[in-house]
Amino acid sequence: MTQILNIFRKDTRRFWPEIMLSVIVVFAFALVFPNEWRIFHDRSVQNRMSIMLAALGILMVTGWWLLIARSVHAESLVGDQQFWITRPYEWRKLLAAKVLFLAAWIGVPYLLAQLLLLAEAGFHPLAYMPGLLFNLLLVSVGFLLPMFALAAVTSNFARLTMTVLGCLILFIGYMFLVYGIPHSYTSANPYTNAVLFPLLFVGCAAAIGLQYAMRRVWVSRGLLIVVTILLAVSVAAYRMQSLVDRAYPQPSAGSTAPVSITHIPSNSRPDEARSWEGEDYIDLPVQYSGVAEGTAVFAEDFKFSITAADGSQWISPWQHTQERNLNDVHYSMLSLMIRPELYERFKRTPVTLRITLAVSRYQSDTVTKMAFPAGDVAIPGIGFCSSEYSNTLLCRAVLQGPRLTHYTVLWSHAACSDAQPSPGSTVEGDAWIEPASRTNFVLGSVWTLRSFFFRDFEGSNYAHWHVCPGSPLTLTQYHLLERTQTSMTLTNFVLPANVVPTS
Amino acid sequence: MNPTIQTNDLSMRFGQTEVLHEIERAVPEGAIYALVGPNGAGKTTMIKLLMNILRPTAGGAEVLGVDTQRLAGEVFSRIGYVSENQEMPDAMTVEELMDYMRPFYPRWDRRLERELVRQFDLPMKRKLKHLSRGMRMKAAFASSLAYRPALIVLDEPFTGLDPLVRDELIESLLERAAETTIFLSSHDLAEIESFASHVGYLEEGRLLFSEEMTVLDDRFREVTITLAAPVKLPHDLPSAWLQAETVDCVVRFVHSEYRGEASEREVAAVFPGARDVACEAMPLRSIFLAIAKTGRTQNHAAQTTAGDGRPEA
Repeated sequence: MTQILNIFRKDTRRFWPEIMLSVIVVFAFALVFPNEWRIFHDRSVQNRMSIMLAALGILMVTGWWLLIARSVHAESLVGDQQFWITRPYEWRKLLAAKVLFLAAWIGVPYLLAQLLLLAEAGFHPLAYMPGLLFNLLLVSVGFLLPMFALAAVTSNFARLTMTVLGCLILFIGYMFLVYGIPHSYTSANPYTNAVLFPLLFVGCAAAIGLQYAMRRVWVSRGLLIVVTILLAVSVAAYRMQSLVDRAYPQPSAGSTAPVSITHIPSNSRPDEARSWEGEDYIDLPVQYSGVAEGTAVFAEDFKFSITAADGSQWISPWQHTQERNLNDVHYSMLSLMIRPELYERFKRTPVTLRITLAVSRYQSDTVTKMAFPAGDVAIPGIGFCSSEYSNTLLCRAVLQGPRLTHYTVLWSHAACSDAQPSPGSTVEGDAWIEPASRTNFVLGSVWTLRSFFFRDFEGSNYAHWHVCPGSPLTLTQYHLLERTQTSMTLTNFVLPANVVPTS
Repeated sequence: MNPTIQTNDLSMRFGQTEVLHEIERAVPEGAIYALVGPNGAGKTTMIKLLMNILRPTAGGAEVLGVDTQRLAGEVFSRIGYVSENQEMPDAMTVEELMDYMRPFYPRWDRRLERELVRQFDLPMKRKLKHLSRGMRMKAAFASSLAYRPALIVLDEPFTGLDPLVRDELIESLLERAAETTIFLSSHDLAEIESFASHVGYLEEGRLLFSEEMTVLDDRFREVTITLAAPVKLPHDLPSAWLQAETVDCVVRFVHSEYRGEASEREVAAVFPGARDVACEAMPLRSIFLAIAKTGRTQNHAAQTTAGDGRPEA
């Protein structure tokens, strides 16, 4: 323990300017963050605050990077001329001292800043301690540990910087490559982080341990390269089409479809085809309906198959849907992407077109009815909410945000002071808040959610409508019931004869 | 008594280049062992292998009874290592360095520390990066001697130092020689001659010899033979006669296996008409020069022969 504290004291004494800088930035971030949920009547001030917060976020991460580099490189593990390698350092104690340094000057200030942030947002800080610690763990695995591992296999800050930049360039190049792969899938996948974070943790921890225990630089570097390749493979694997089929299985026979899709071409909304950036798109007007009472359905992606009369068939990859919310009866447009040569092949004769949607079905469980707040009000299951600009509900939640929530509220074009609004002066509007991914870490522990209530005023001036404080507000929270597929088949479908080029 | 350092066929390769070739040597406890040799001979590599800074490609070594590949942690509290190329914690003052190092060593002697600081006249409040090269070396020495190590390993410790600093460092070493074993590498033959008890000569990764200084002094003689008339040197001179040359009636060579009267009889047998034979003791520098030049001549001859495609003589 003496050796650990001795090294820790030495590093703290030596790097106090960097520590001070990092801690100040962390607390400045926590100080500026509440502007996210403050109401500014001047949008430009709000924008400036957002820019400042983003800059502080970057500075905070940079400060951590600097602290990690300085502390690890103080006893550099690369080279053969370091002062410390022929002194009675014990590698476990040296590693423990570095971990203690990072915990004390990154972990603790960050945690304290988050607690302050929660208190400022009106939450009891200690009630969310497990969540904050888990978030800190994710921050550590997602950023601090990889940076630590890179510092352990580089000899100084300049080399570390070059390595990080190199990794960034490789990452960007890789993402371009992956996104360019045909038939690759881009939407959210429930399996992603299940591989990513454990792999990062095990790989980086092993490289760090190996480096501290044996100083085998090339072995450790090799290990990190292998981990990087495995991460790249996992990202590519995550984008595999088969995973989508696995995550969203076909419904069992006899089960009710979670949502009905109907093809409804009309003179005003006919089927159309257009070309854009080397691909052809078939725009199909559709109608979604039949979502059961008490449930909500969201489309994640869709694919389609075209079968010609001669039996030849083409199945598209999973494609991103432009409209995810399939609740209530409403009209929409599905844009089916297809290669021009395939389009040419299939447009000659009538085909069978089958469209399959990967959908998430949610079940409502908690309904809260309350008055639209004039000031700050606590809403169970969400956090604290207040109204903003008379048409938005501004809520703040802790860490991962609330579950899927549906808000309904009454809009009015009468003055809020009217005790009895005239009939027809109010209409219902609604908003949805979708859940955030559970495995993404956040720099600020408070989520700010803005629910813009939607209502089609059918030509009426939007500006005349507002939500009055005290008007009824209903919040319905949902939990995930199932992920499944739902399909629509069009027989004897004729692809539009002309493909209109668009820029 | 166990040797403080024992190497067993210690070898090191960097790619295709063999830097050390099967070094087999023991350094007895209490010795002041000087490892000498020209630049690139492998001295620093050998020291780095002994300190587990590098790992051998073949063979092994033990230091203080510990396999060098396991040399870490507590064992280093009994070893003092100073190298001319060593990076120091430059941001520290001398005082901070001492304060920082002290808890690492259970046997740290604060009185000795103060004595060393006074002896070296170290400016305690000055940062290491602001010290001259000599002062930095003194600080390194002080921080490596204050815990009375059982073994002191020095890699070219006197290179680039002015004579005054060099003398101060040697003096501090000699004061501790009774309680420690010292292993050092150096180009400075004149200095090590004055205090080394053992010497090893390394050339192109091979330890050409390693022995006690007294034995070495006895073994080498510069032999000058005065003849009645000029003669041509015979081709079959004994292999122990190095650097043989003749000028008019005088023949000179270095005898590397001098054994008193037996050697003089050997000379008389080769040169029966010798009028005078003088055998003089040699300074270390002359011994090494003779060995080094002989080695290079032989290498050159071997390479030339190999290049000609003719069998080696």
